[in-house]
Amino acid sequence: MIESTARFVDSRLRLSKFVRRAMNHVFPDHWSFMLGEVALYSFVILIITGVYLAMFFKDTTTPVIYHGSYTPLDGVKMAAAYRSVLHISFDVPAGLLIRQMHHWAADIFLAAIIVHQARIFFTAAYRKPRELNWIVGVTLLILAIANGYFGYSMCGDLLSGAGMRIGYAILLSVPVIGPWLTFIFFGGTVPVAATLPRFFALHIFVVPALIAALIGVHLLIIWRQLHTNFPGPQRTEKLIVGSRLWPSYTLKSLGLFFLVFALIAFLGGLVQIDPVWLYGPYNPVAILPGAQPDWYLGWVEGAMRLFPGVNFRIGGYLVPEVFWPGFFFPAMMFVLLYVWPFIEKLISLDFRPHNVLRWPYQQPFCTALGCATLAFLVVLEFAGADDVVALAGHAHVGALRDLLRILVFVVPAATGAISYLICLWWRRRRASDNAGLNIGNEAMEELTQSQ
Amino acid sequence: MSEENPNQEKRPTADERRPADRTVERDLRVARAESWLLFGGVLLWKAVGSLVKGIGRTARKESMQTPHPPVESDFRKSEEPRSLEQEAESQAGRLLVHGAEASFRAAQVSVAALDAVIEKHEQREQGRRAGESERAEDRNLDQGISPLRQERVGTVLVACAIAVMAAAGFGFLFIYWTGGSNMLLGGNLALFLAGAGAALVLWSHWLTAHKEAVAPREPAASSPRESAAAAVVFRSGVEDVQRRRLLTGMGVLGTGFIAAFVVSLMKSMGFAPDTTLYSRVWQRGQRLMSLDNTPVSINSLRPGSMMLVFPEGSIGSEKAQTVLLRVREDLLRLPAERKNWAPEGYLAYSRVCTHAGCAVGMYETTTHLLMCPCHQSTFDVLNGAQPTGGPAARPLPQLPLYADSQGILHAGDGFSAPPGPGFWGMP
Repeated sequence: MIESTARFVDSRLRLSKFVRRAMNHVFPDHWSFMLGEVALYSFVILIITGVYLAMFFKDTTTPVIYHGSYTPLDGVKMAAAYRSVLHISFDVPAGLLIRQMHHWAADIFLAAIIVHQARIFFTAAYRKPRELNWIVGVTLLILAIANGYFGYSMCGDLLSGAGMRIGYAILLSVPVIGPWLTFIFFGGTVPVAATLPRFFALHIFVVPALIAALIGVHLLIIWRQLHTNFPGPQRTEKLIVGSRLWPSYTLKSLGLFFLVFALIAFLGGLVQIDPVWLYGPYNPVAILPGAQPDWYLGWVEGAMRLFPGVNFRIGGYLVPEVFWPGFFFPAMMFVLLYVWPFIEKLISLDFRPHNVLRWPYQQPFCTALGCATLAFLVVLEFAGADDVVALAGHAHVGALRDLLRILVFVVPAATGAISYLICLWWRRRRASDNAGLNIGNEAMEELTQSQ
Repeated sequence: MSEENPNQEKRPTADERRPADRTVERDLRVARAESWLLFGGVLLWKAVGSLVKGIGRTARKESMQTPHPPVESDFRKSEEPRSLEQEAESQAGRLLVHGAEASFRAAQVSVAALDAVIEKHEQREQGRRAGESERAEDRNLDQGISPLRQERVGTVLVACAIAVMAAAGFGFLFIYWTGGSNMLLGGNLALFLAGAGAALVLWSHWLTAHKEAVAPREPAASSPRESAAAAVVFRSGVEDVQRRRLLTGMGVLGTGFIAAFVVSLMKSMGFAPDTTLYSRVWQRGQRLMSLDNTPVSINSLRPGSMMLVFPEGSIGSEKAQTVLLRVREDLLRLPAERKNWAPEGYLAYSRVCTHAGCAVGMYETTTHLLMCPCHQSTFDVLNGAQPTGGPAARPLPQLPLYADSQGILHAGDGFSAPPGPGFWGMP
């Protein structure tokens, strides 16, 4: 059966040569090389669950009166979008499961991308010839964050309404083109009925299509260049060591897909996320203390809370305070990520191609920089929830904010310094180990060349 | 690794293996097929059995009428009658247990059958070896885990994972069709998928040949000869194109038109910011209305309290929402030009935060500070809502007020500035 089908296709497309080479393709085995796969598989699950949700979701803000099975909101006036989300959550069989799986899959997608990218950074996998794939990856991260924002802004609950208004204020603050961008994007001053269909179109067509296309490019580049190897026996610049695609890698990877799917189903079924019915419908005059965006935007929120009210005019035109932490700062972070492989070249003056990775301790400066950046983001993440933290610790919000304004510089500096020292200590220990054994492998060579 | 084809690792061909190994393999294949059949059969038998039992039990419950508690109840401790949903859920749970039990038993049976075959083989092998002269190779076979043992352990583990998968898959379908809860659905789906994933991973670990593969890497860049050849072809094509200027002109013109189309289409999406951004919302003489659409008078508030007001005809509007407060007049520190804006200590400010547009809905009466719940900016009510802490830089726009002869509050003019977050052209 399989053979006759294969023969039918092969006699028309001459695929045997390609398929043979593909099955013999070698993928290195290391747990950290699965992180990108986890992201890929979460994206697949996002598409599967998202298609199901799109069958029930209504992208309009037409006011309606709710009469569904969630009685606490019976008779409440709300947007049609919010009613459809309640309908999915309470009246569609398995609807809540699918909706929660969709949200959890989005969180795992982003978490996997970020950890994957951290692995690339700390092992210097972005070096020549892989700068292009780093750029594709950073673009994927930005698209994933944007689509997460569009997604949770569409539900029409109080929390998503607040998030939409803050997004509007950030875009509006951009000098010169801000008001134009805002009107193209939101369709007017929010809240306005035109916004939701735009978010919906972006969330389900434009951004997923871009993500899918870029994932394709990402994988094609990996296929073309072959994966990197950690230093080790036979793992040289000219050889790749690992498992073949068929059968061991295929079985393992397919297994990983099901395990990621299982984790998301478990979380979607048993761990509540974004209970929109508790927040109530969006109402422009209602307030929601203790509101935070999803965690992947928490660092921007934190920057917005910590940044002082700096407000100035250029030739009579206003540059609002929210522009710096809300737009300029994240934009700069992404620009730095984009150009990092090229900055690293200028620092290390190493322009050669590399297929063997560096261990974090072999590149103390880069490791320290990465740890400091992560610490910076974690402090900002805390600052993004400073009201909740203050409430939990019985502290005054203003005092906590002043403290965080100091910590946001002190903690990254300390983290960077400590990780630098750990790298040096580790490197010395490995060097003395290797000196005793007297083996001149690639790692040793790398060690003497770096720094 | 041979020199001419480094992409191929050394696998023993069929002829290289010992004939005894081949018979073991063949017998094992038969045994495996048999045990799978057995497994499937037992599973099906048990599944049908428990389904029939479950349906029978449900039917009995329904025929017994609700007031009478069912006689046979496994889990019940109290005598309280339970709702139908609870019953359905306990039924689902019981069926799940049955299903899992059935699949485990099926796996057990099939593994036991496989075990017997392997045992027989090992005995035969030993007998054969005892008769023959022992070779070094054979002795090595006994050290570590033998391929047969590995096969057996792997098969047991994979069968268990598949049993979990089958049980949970059955559970998911049953719960879905009987309208069970999302938690049970999610749990079963997770177990089903975890079983499938575990089976594949275990399969890869135990039941596939483990060989580290080594392959050469090609250089990332094209060789100078390759790129030179490509450049020659490209340049000859460019030379072949007649009237190159016309082509360039077409390109520029076409791109320009397409850009113009895109910009024109964006106009339909609300290209230019309209005047609403600059609007000061209130007009002179408009009455202040509460959320329930009644006019607000000079007696509406006591000093130290606040309320939400709107212009007449814009109740509930996001942009027009205004906070009305009353403070003791001797506390006021308004700038000189706003001295007449606060009759009887009544102050009105835009309720839209100048930082990021949230509703500034919290008021600390002791410090006379308005606070935004989103980013914790604070505004001093007594001093024209100037920002005193947090990220906001601009004061909340103030609404001048006056009271008419009946004591009804009116807007003296629009807000002192357009309300809401700042933008490039903000006056």
